[in-house]
Amino acid sequence: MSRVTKKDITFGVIVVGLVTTRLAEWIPGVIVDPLLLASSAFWLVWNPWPFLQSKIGGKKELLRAKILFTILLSVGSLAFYFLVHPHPLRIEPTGLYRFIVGSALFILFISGYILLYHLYNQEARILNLEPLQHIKLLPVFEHKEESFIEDGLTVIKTHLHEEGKDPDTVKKIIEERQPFIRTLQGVLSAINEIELLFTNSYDRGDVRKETYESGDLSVIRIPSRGGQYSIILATKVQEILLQHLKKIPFPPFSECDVKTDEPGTFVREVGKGYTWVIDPIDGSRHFRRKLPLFTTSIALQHEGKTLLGVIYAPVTRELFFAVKECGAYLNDWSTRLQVSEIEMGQALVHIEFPHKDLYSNDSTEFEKECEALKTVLMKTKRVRGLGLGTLGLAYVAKGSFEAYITFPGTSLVSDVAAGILLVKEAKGQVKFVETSTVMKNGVRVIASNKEIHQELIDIVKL
Amino acid sequence: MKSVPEDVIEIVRESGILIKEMMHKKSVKVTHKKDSGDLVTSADLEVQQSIFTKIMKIYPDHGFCSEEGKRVRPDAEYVWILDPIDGTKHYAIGNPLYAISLALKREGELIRGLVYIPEMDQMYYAEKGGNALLNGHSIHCSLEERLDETILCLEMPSRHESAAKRKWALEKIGILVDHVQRVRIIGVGSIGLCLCAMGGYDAYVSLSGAWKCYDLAAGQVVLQAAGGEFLMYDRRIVAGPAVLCKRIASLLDL
Repeated sequence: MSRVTKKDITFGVIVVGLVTTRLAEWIPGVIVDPLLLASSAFWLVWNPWPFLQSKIGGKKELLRAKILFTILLSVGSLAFYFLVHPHPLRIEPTGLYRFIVGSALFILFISGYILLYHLYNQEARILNLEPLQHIKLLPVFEHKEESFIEDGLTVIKTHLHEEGKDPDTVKKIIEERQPFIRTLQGVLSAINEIELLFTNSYDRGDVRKETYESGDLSVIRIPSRGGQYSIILATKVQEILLQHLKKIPFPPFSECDVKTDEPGTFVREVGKGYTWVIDPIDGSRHFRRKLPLFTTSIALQHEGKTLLGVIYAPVTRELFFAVKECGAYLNDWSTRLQVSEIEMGQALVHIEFPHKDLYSNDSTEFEKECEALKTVLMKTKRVRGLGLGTLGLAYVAKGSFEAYITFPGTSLVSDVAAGILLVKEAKGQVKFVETSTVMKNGVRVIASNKEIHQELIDIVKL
Repeated sequence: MKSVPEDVIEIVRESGILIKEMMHKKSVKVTHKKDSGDLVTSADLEVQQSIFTKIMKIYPDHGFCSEEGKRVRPDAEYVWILDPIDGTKHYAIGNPLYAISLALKREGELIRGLVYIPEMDQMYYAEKGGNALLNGHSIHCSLEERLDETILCLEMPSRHESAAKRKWALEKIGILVDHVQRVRIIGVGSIGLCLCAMGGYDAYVSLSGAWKCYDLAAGQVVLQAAGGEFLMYDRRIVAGPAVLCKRIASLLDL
């Protein structure tokens, strides 16, 4: 379990403290203090308790926490030094003096420990993952393990036949995709756990009354300016995701690259073809402000092609998932998604606004974007901008929006990979361009239904 | 009258759950209104009827005005103003951004506002001079004063407005994008105002002059009770913390 209990911390401090003092005592001629110093330095660089890493967002905060814990550890070690074992090679003070100093240090150590424990475990009660009984699971989680795959395959077969594919092709697609349906199941089990996490940490549904106050994201008192919490929760979500992805038999996790959005977290390149693209919380800016618009998105890519895409919007409880060549679905196999067929004049378009601050050197580029934006505004019926790429794309797939356009190249691949697969699988069209004009590895996307795709490309000049 | 009308809150919540289920079961009929391009759904009418009946039972001498046509005693001392589904367009296409908005007017002055967002289960309630509540917990609007830190919720002019007005609005959008940190468009007035009241968005700006009192009445009460200003310049609206409102208004030259 990833939750840290008092037991873990106590155990850690005692073991490390004992080992340090003991080791020091048996090295002839070496006095303890420099060793304590060395071990402290060691602690500042390397942190043996991953919980610190997972609960504290910024680098400064992490360093501060490490220093505090180091001081605490030193005090603890000294207490042991005085109380537990006499040093064989040094002239020791008398027993009573020794006992008094040792006890004082021990008391200091215990109170320091209690203080730090409370400081860094503020959010423990929010991250409690007990399932809440009165929350109804999303339909897709009610499937039994085997029937999820069987149901899925049956649904996919039916759809492929309806599309007029000949039996051999259908058989081939099914054979190729079957392992990925199993993979999808693994991803959904992670989402299931994340659902519980959000249920407990965000005001929603029947738990409204009980959890609003504890779910208030401002309860975090880790000293820092601005949304430490959202970073911390994102890390937690990512932890859950990685835990579940590791259990998936195919593709084996050890052979997968991992790309994520969160700063200072898990990124890995193995280069065997498979890549997990993870965005634990898209819209963390919103989440910090308690705006109920944020998502979790996961995609599996093979040599640049997206095979699986999952987008989960916890507040509105919408779970979108898609498997390449097998369609896009909402909440269960029974709801297949399809883009709309609405024309330009009636279109509802989701846009990402250009931001001036990104074009510091090149304001003509910005002007150009604004002009294109105005044309889109004039030609379409209405425009929406939720500020969430994942949700924008998912709603295009659902047919709620007719198109999704990013004006600046500020989206990352991890923002859009899953969404693009959703739109494609819902029979929409996607134009995807990588650009580095405003930021490294940015992407620009136009995703829409067939009817208006070409016209939008012409307007935006992508 | 009771100080907090739990019964009215329950009535609205029930209706919200009802339309949410209707949408999920896909049992909604959509018809286009004749005059404008607006939609009306069977859910609108159902909510209107159910809230009307229940409120009239509790307050038999009050008036009632609804966006979808129901009007009873509009000259009474107390008049309830209902938008059965704000964001009907979203509702009709299965997008979860829609809300029920109910306000109470006393002699022309708005004194109560309720907004319920069924898909997020957020119930906003406020009384003039009291606290604004979100699911029973008091909320306060943002205290941001810096334009470049502002996340702004924007309302666009609709196509029914004149070309000149739309062009004017487009210029203003250019200016906004240039000066604030982020611009968001929700497209549902009551949700925009309420998310602004709870501090999610720093400010709410409507460049559309085509809103009706049904859309914004309740949201306005909630936002004002949450400590925000609600300023109107020739039907263009700027709402949010007082200092920020003034800055936005002067930026847009309203």
